[in-house]
Amino acid sequence: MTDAPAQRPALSLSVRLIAGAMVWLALMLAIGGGVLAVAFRDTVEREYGHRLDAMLRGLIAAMETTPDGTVKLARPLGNPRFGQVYSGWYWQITPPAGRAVRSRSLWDGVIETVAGGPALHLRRAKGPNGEDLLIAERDLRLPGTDGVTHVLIAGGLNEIREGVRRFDLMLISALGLLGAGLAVAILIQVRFGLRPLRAMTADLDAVRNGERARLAERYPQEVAPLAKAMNSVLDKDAELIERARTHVGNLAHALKTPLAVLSAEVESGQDKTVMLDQVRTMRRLIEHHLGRASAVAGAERVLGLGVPVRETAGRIAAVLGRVFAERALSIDIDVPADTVFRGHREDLEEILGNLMENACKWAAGRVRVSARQSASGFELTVSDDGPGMAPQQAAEAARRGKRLDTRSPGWGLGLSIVSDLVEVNGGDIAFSRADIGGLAVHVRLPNRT
Amino acid sequence: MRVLVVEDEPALAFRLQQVLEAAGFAVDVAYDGEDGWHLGDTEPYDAIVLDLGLPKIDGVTVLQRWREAGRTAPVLILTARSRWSDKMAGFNAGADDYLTKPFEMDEVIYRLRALIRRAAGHAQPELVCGPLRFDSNSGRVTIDGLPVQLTAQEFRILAYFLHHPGRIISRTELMEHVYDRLFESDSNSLEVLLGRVRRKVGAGLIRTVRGQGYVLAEPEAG
Repeated sequence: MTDAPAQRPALSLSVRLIAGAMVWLALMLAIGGGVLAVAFRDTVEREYGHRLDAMLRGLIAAMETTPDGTVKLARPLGNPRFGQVYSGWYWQITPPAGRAVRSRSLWDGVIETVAGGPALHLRRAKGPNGEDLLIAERDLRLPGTDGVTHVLIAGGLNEIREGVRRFDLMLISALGLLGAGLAVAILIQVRFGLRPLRAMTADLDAVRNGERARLAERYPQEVAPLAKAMNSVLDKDAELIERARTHVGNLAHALKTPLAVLSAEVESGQDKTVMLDQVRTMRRLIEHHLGRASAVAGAERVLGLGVPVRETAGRIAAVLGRVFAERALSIDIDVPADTVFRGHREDLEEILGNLMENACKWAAGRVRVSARQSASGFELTVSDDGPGMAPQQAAEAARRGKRLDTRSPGWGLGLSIVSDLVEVNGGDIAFSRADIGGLAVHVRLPNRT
Repeated sequence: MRVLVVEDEPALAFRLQQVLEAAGFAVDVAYDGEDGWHLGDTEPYDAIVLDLGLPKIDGVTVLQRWREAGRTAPVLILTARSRWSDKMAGFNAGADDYLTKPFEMDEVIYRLRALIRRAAGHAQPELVCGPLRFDSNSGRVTIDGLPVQLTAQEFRILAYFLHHPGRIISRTELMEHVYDRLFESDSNSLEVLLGRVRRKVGAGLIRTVRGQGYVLAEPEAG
């Protein structure tokens, strides 16, 4: 372990889901609320403008031009607030010549006119009292006058602001309520949605505490594969443990017999050859079971990348060349450079090492290793030019781990280990007379997919 | 012939020492990796028996350090691990041979003799010098086909000469390869020992080279 700072645990799924949804919800509500408020204000102002326009038409209809060119109202406008000073409601008529005529409410103030046109023109402006106004105005060409007469009507924006504010308030409370409702829905949904995961955690705890052997199979389809995978791992584990237990049991029982003989011999006869024989038997049993155990354990693991066969055989040949230095053996390796073994390096080393070592023990001068990777699988042949042994005899040795040659310790054991390894990898092993004279051992392993 | 045994299990180390001494080796024993490494690094052993599972420094590391320091004594590795991948690791570190536990003592002796012989450059198990024949597998010495009875120390002297025929061997070198570390020796006792060996194999075979040491060679004709 390095002394790097401890990693923060990842955010919980609930926090991720809830926080994500909440942020999005708040954003959407804010945008929606903003758009609604702007649209409402816009509509209200437009309506107000239309009202002002209607009044403007009324004003124009009430206008009268006197023969001397001045303008006056033939009748007062309906709205009494045009008479109240600074009421926020004003009208103003500016003829091309002469004084402008204004509503009484304007008192002695004047509203700036802006050159418009015959069409209705709406604009905002400040009133004589500093208030915000909406102004509707037109330019008219009155009969009997030269130039344009500018007519305008102004209404205070305060009138509509109150309504808009009330609407905004209502909008905010309504959206707030909606947001709260949705948040509760999100919380409920997340809790409900993640319930299977909590159940799985509880299940796993139960498995760890030994209350149950495997996970339930009732999970929704999104997590069911996980539960299934976990279960198959648990099953495989249980199987491995069971197998290991059987192994240990087998070994222990197998060791009891030679132990019994040994203790009897120690007590009475002390015949050294008998004792040595029993020790050899025990050693053979241990090696056999060890080899088998590692073979089985190896086969359970996931397969890695391919192991280059020629290179591995070369390294083993170098080792054997040193061990059997005085015999000056020639070890031919007939393996294409690109041949790879799709399995564990240790397994290949074990198979090649044991077969090549046996071949070296028996060889008169030559050992040959050939391997091919074909569509049907991996094929390996190790042969020697020694006296060989009958193929049936070799097969027997492979099956039982029997030692056929007492001169070279471990003979037969190697074959048995290879045989176990090949078996757990789903392959087969065969024996024949080698074309260079001695025994040829053929190993075939299927391709793994 | 002098060997080092590095083995942490005292019973096994003691037994190895007994058996190897009986087979005619001078034996030093180290019980952990540190002592073992130090002895192997400073004493001129003819071969080393090295356990891999050692306290303080593990066997593979000890072996690597010797090899990096240029110590070339042949090393026989002992280990309980029997998989080929374990063996490869041992050989990669510079081992010359390998025995898995439990092993038979005869096998250790057989392998050690072969290692020592090969390290001295002899391909054949039988070393010959004139009428003298030495079967390195069995450790038997004969003259004109008749067995020669030798004590352990006499055997060691003769075996060392036989592994290096024709080479002048200094007194110091001879002592280093004949006596173990704890043996109190002086050059007089070596002279006495040599005299006995000469009497048993014939005076002409081992000659004294003045001021330099001794050499084993076929007696010149005449």
